[in-house]
Amino acid sequence: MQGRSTTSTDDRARQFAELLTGSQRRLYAYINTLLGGSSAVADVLQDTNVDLWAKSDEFDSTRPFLPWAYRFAYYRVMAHRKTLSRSRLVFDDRVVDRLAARYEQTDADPDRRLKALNHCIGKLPEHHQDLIEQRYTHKRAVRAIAERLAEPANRVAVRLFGIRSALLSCIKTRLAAEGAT
Amino acid sequence: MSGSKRRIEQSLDLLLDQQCEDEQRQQIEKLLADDPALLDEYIEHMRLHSMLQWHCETVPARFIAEDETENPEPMRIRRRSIPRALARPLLVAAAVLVIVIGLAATWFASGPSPEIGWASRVDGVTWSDGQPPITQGASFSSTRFRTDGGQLELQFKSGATLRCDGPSVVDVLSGMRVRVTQGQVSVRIAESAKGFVVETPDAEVVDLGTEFGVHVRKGEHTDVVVFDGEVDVQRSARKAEGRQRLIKGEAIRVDSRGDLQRVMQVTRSAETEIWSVGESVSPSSVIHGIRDNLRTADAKKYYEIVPGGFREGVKAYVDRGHLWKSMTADGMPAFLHGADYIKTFNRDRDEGALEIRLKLARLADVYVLYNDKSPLPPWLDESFADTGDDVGLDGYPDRVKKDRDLSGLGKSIDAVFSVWRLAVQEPGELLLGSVGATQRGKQSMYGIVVVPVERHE
Repeated sequence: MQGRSTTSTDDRARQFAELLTGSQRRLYAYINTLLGGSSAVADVLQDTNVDLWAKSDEFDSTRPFLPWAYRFAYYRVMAHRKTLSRSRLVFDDRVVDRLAARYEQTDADPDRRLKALNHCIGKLPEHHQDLIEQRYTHKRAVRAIAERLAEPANRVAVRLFGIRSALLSCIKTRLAAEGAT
Repeated sequence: MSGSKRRIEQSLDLLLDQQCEDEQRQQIEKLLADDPALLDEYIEHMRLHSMLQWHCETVPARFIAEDETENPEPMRIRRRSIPRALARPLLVAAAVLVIVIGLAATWFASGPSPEIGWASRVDGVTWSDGQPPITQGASFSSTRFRTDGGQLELQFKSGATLRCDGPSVVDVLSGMRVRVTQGQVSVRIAESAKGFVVETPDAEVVDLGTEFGVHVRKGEHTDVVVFDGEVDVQRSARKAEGRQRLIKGEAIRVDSRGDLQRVMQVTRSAETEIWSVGESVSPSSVIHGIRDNLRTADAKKYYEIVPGGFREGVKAYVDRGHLWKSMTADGMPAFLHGADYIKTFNRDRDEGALEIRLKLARLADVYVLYNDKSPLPPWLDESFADTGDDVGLDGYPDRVKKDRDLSGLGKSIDAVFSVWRLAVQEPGELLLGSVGATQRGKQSMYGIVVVPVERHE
């Protein structure tokens, strides 16, 4: 009996670890959204992972993992916000609460979206790919890109927004087409 | 398009970079609070933004499995294959498993991880003997980096980014302090890393929210150059004299006795941002050096030489944010585009006794960009010829200008500068004078652009 109990505990831990590892990208996006792109996103995610692991025994495996995990991430976001002065907060509590609620209502399948994103990036014109590469692969700030392109920063920001809008539209179309076949 | 959406479009990525003005941030906050459609759009963009960050491997290395960090080349988007991207969750899963289990096993027992940051770029680095190489994306804690060449960029969790160019010895002491005993580093910090310290044998530099460079020549001196923002410098040999504040466009050389020397010029590539102090030794340089007659050894302002950097929208002065802009939709005069240029001091516009000596290494056309509203001084009128071409100066690039389109060529011009040319017949020194006398503060300092030529017609 002892052996079976240990195996069961191991299985449960393994299943929980799989759920946790499989949710990293979504937790990252959730925290990133609530913090408005703060440089502390990775730290808050790390802290959330610690909390989730510490509370793994309390997880009801018959229920969805993400809504449960988002609660921990939400509390970690709020705890992080308390360490900041008002001037360093991107959003007030009211907006963070609305974002959290709405985010969970609109959560979608990220693996299918990632696959579609791969396809859609390949469809972008080369100069748009270059801008995305500067922004995301080389991690350049908008002002740094603007300086290199000798363009105003707000114009570069508008272009990046436009490229992401095009990608979102392409992803939506592709997912709809996949759903139809 | 609604004005609300336009404001989000213009501000979102600046917000993500934490480079949004308070007023812009509050506007976005209000828009998201009031308009559910914009709230949804923000969420969609943040989901995609996060996915792109993840997709492009910009998430810190501790979420990346070891075998993914071995390739030091940054991924190029268009070569990204679907199988590799889809394989990522498995690798991440493996890494996080180790992390989470590791955290559970050790962090609760021993306190926070000592990890300080990660290597965000490892480009052509030659490691010194005995130095364990670090791969791009790998994390580091308190350690020493010794390189014999190449570019190593360290991203600190605190928000500081430190880049080593060329041979260097850097000790990472904490997330907020490094010691540089040899070589050149450039530091850029986020708001969260204010107070980041670079120690050298000659001085201690405290970052007050800025971008700056430090070059240490062991046993001789330390150069400190501020590109943006401000720093405090404490000389090791003169601690009793307190800290010295340097602002954007200022630099000093501190020797081992604590004596100060003026840094007359800094050459900084617009493309690579690699910089050097003092007269150029590059055989390809056309501008060998620049100096003036105004400043004493303890002056702090430096001239900035930008090789190949003249183009639309570049900064005109070291001490102001004004930009050079084209006057028409055709862009900058073709003969100026991509030329070497010098950022001068706008405050020198009122210095009637100014003499600038430009040392040229080769035959060249020297162009002076001169404000049409300033009286013509004899040194310009008699030696130079007006090319008939003009460039514009945008005097308020950061100011919101109502009813004006900031983005187009020939737009947002506050002053017109004629382009004057002198064909310099032999390498050597060229003397430039002051701006013609007029009411103080009502004119602009001129700009200097240099184009090497094989021979003059």
